[in-house]
Amino acid sequence: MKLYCLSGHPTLPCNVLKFKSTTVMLDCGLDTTSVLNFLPLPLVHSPRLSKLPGWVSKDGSLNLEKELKECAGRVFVDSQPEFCLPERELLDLSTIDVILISNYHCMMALPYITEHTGFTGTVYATEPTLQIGRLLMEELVNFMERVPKAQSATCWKNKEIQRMLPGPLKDAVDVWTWKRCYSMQEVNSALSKVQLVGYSQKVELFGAVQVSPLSSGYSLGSSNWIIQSHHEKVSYVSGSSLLTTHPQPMDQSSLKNSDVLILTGLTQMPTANPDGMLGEFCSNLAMTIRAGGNVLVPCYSSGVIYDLLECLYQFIESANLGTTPFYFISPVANSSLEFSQIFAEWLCHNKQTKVYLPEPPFPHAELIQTNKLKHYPSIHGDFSSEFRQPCVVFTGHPSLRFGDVVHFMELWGKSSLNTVIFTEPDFSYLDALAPYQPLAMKCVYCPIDTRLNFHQVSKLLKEVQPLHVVCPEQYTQPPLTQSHRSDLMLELQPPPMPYRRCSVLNLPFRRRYERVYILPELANSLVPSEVKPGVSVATVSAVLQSKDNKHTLQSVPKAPPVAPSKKRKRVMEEPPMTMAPKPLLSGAVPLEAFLATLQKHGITEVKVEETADGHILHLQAEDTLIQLEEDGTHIVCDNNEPLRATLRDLVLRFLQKL
Amino acid sequence: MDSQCVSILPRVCGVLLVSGSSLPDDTSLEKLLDWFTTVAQTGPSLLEACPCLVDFVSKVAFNYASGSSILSFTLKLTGLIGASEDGFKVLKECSVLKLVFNPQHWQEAGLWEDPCLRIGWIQGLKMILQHSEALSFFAQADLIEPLLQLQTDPSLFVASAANQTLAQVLLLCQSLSSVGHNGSKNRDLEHNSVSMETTQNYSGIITKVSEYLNKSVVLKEISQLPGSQQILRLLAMLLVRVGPPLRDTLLLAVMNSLEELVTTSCSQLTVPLLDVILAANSGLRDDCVPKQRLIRLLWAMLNMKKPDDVMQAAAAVLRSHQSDPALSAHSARVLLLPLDIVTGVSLLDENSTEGELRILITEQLKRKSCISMICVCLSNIPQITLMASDRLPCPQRLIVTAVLLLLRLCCVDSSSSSPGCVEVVRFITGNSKVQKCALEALLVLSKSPGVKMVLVEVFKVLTEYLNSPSSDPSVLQKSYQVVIKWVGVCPDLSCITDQLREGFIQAVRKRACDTRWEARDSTVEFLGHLVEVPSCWTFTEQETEPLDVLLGGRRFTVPLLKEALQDPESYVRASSISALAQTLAPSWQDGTALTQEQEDIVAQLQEVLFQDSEGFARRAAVKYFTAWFSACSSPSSCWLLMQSMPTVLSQGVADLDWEVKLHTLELAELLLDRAFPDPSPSHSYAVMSDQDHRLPIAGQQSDLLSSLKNLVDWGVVSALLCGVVDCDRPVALKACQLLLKLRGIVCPVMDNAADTRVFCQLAGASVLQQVRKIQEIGKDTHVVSEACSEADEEGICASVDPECVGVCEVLRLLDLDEKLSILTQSSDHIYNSPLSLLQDILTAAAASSPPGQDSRQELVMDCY
Repeated sequence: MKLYCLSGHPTLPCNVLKFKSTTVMLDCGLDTTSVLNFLPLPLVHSPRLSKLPGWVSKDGSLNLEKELKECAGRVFVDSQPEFCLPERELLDLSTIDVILISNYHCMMALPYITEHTGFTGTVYATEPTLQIGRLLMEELVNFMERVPKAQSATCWKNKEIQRMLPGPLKDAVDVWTWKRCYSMQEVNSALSKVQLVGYSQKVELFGAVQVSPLSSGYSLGSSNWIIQSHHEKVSYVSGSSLLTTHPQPMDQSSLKNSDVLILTGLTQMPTANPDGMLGEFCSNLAMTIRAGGNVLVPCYSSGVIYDLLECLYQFIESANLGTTPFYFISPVANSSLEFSQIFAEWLCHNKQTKVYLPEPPFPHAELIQTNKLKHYPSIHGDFSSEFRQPCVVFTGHPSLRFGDVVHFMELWGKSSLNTVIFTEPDFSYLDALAPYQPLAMKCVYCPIDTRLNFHQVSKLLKEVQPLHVVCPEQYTQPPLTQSHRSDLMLELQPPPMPYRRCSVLNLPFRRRYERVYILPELANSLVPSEVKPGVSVATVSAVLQSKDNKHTLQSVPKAPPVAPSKKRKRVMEEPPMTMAPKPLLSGAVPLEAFLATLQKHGITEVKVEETADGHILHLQAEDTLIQLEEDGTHIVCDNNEPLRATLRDLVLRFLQKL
Repeated sequence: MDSQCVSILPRVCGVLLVSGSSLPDDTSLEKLLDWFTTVAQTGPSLLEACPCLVDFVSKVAFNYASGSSILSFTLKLTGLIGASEDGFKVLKECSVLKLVFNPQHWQEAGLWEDPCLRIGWIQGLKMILQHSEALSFFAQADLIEPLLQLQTDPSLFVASAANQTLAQVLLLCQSLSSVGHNGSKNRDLEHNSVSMETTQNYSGIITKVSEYLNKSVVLKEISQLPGSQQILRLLAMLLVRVGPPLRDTLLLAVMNSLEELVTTSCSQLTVPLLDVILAANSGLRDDCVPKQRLIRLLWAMLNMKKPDDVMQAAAAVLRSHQSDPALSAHSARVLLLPLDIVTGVSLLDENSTEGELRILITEQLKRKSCISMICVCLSNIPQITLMASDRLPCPQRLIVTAVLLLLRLCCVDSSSSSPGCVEVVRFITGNSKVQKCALEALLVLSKSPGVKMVLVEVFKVLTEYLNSPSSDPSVLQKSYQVVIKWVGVCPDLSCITDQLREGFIQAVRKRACDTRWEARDSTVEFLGHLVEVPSCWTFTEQETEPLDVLLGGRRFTVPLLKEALQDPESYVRASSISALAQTLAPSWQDGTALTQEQEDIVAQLQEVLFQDSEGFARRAAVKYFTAWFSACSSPSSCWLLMQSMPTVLSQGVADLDWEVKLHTLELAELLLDRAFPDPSPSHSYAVMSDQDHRLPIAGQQSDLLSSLKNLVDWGVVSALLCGVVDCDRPVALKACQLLLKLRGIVCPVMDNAADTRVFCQLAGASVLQQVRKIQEIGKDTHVVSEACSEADEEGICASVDPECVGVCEVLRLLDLDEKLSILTQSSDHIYNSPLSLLQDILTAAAASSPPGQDSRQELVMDCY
């Protein structure tokens, strides 16, 4: 069993598991942090961004004016932003049989894997994962295509040149694998390969393994996966949460008794308690609004935003923010808000019960009804006529490099009354803000990451007790910035197996058993004999047939009547030999009783010698040795066949025969 | 004593004698005993008052078929009767005493097993042991043996009462022997011989007690642990209570056993053992031998193997303020060890003797139990700071540094690492218990000398806590308290830079918008308290207010507080009102002109009074006006204040919440005092009768008249009249007292002036009706109609107003004195009277016992 690790990002994993002749890809995460090296794409012409000076090395030897621009003391690539894809050279992607998706954040690289690689398999995902994943992809494509940039910068990627570049660009890795965003057509094609599954639904893969998604409690439709054969069980834990938010709670018990547990997607903010952050978010928001400023919340169009809106729903009354407008701007804002209301079966119990009342599960419906929350596909159109300040704007993309958020950063960045509150943990907020410096607006970092923290995960692992744990190497040491926090890492016995990008791990367990079926007529012919209470044994002679990873014992075909035709004879040239097998023996020879029996048969001079494995009986008169060992009995008797036979029969009296 | 009670007491005794007779409730006998105790304490003698009791006691004693509760009661009653020497004689004469206090008697009857009886026996014994006669009886009957046996009784109540009684025995021995020594010269020969005999008795008792203690202190097996703890507690109590000669005797008797016990070092016994040693140690002279041995014992306890025990011992030593300097210095070192190890700040020099302990504590700190150890360390820092500086292991400044570092380590968002024990960080990070203990320590440390230099550091850490999203509301509250404390003691705040101030302001502003009401509440409270921190002086001799330095002054706080008036949580609204009062108080004192802002606030507060659904906010609103009125140097010149008064008073006194009403009456009292400044400061509740009031002086009348009119205009009189008929007793009482005060001032003067009538309007019809009812009960005069007709005549009151009453008339006609006497009694005084108790017992017995009245019993059961 092997695990190929195509992504080094702990929360955006992409691993391939080879297990029992199947090749299963686990998640397909797209690392978008690479976009932080690019200039923002403004929706409205920005004089500031369009007049940036090109970058020339200090000694003038290197001139990349066209590709690189200097902005706020840093150098950015001036082209359409590119993403860091999962590794595509480690194994042939066309051999992948299935892709299992655990949540909508972990499928963003799907088109890069399923298109143009020869992939012919199936993608499994739950319905909300597919639908919301589609929204996120659509949004991404829309953000990119709205601001087309013809230029594609490649010179800077040249190894020799990159080495001489300043700042973070110099240290960027795998830049040649960075790719521009896919098109809508590719998205559609990729998503057409998705087959929907429900929680705990069992999907057979070629008869060899069974895969089944479990609720993971992180987001709508998010799942962990069980991949099991009859005798082996691999659990794949991706973004999971034990907090009571909107999704169905995590199914922990089904993870028990795993041979291997692949653990990814823990919280990226182990020290930030989501409740505290939510409180922080609310108080900063209220503080800004009360002072007459605007609040900008760069966020994804699905996920934590539902919880934020729910929290605000309760908070705005108490904080006297009743008249402040809340805007949600995204090409998919409407669908996202509406989708969330219809996936009732994927919601937590509390919200599920609301479905049976004349009440929508999420309170944002009421916010929309009362006109407190308004949503628009973009800043163009209706929004510009209804826009009132001070207000709160939720919009993407959280990287601040593309999407409507770029416009608001340009618009509000100069006033210290305004605040930008970062709630998504995926991007370093300082890096995200870099091209907007100097900035007068207040910045608040309240990353809300509801995924498991180290304390929760160690408790979980204690409960489900997997034999082996595989995890990204980042989880095996404390975070770099807090090296003294030994509690912010996985401490397990045996220690977890770490992986990094491009690792190939041999998973440490051998398959020992396989399930074999017996045909009824063959089973009928068996004569079981009980060797100890509850355990019966029978011998069987049969032909083993293996097909589609299913093994069946069939009766041995009877020897065909001699030569019915010449042609057949050639085929059956060597018919299986059907000899009556010798009976199989079991049991142990009790020494005292055996000696007594020997005496009865006139053998009296017996010298018993104790050995490591049993006893040696020396029949002195007969000059014969009997070795009684745990797994065998030997009679050493030269040239006295009758004696040997007698002795053998005496030994056999004490043993059971099959 | 009530004659009625005396007359029915024999019947009650008869009822109690009848075995199985039911009592009204379980507490009846206790109440009866309480009553007897009061009678015995206040009257001449219990037997004189209730002669039937002896008969009752002897009947019960000879007929133990009574229930155990009656027996227990009788035993206690016997003790109560015998507590006086006369009573004792009577009891002795009728030979009840020997029988009642003979445990053998009860054992034979099979009743001794009942803890109820044992406790009656012990308490009876304790009560009787008041005089030498009783002690002689105690000694002669050899009651010390059973009493000692009861010291470790399985019933905790019995054991504890037995401990107390033993202490009583010893104290009596001690007091009598001292009398014997000092007073023997004055006594005659016969008396002297008696006291000789008793002295022998005492020494016999003391010897037995000493032997018993010595034997039982040692822990033989672990199952005896509760018994040992009990004995140690007893010993500690004895050592505290008995005087020198007896204490030395006891101490010498148990010394060896104590030494043995210390060596067994049983954790459960550490605290009681320390109590004993420290109790023994506290009263001894330094040069006496036991003292030296005790000090050695303390040293032994400070060198035990279990770090927790050692910490406990050290804390106890410090708390006891005992005099040995080396011992307390060592204890301080022990207590500071965890802080030293965790933070790596070297509070203690390395070459000290506690190397082994350091290793043990370091090990313990790697476990989760480190929390309690660190908390013990921190909570004892106040004791350490009280020590003389030359005995401290390090300057207090270093302790502050260490506590600050610890606070940083505890803060979730802080990335500071410690040079000390790394393993501990995982347990203390974000632990609000440790955070609170450390903040508490920091609070105390603000008084330390030479720590003003670290104010900036303290301020930074506190800002960090106030800013941290993971801070618990209780931690925030504590942080605010520490800010107030430190700012209050620091004479110079110039070190607070603009950047620090900005960070602090942001944190406070954010907390004022917190989602948790507790955090908002603490913030609002803080804003109020900060105003009250006294001004400080900068180096440039400029007076600055801490509020200005930290938050930029009232410009910042008042808008925040006004926002908080709208808070959904009533506690926060109430706190914000109080804080506004605190904030505005200085401007009221100065008589600064009113601002629009203040007018807005008054309007909002009136709205609170009218509309707020919660009592807290309304109470605070009334108090705001009280504070304003008291702070204002000349209230009458403050138009807004005086204009609001009628509204506040009429609304406040009609509130549903009795505390709001009471606060309103307090405001009315202020107004009353202001209207009639009292030249002779008499007791505010003193009732002046009409007779002894001074004769009116010319001019006084007109002054009084105008003051009274003012009072009426402000709404004080109608508020008081409204309050006096209130159904809440404290409210009615207060109003009644104030009306009496008003009557005392006004009526004597105004009586003679028929032409100067002042009328006041009553707010609600119901109030009017009640006042009328009182009037009718009082005297048959129609004040209202009379008042109105006269008012008509004088043109004061143009139309006939049925709600108008004449103030003086009402004051005279209301029987305020009678009302006051009713109101001062608690509302349950009738139910709690002894007569009621006796009647209840009789009624209950009658309901249960006589045959042929089953139906009535059922009825009673039904009602019950």
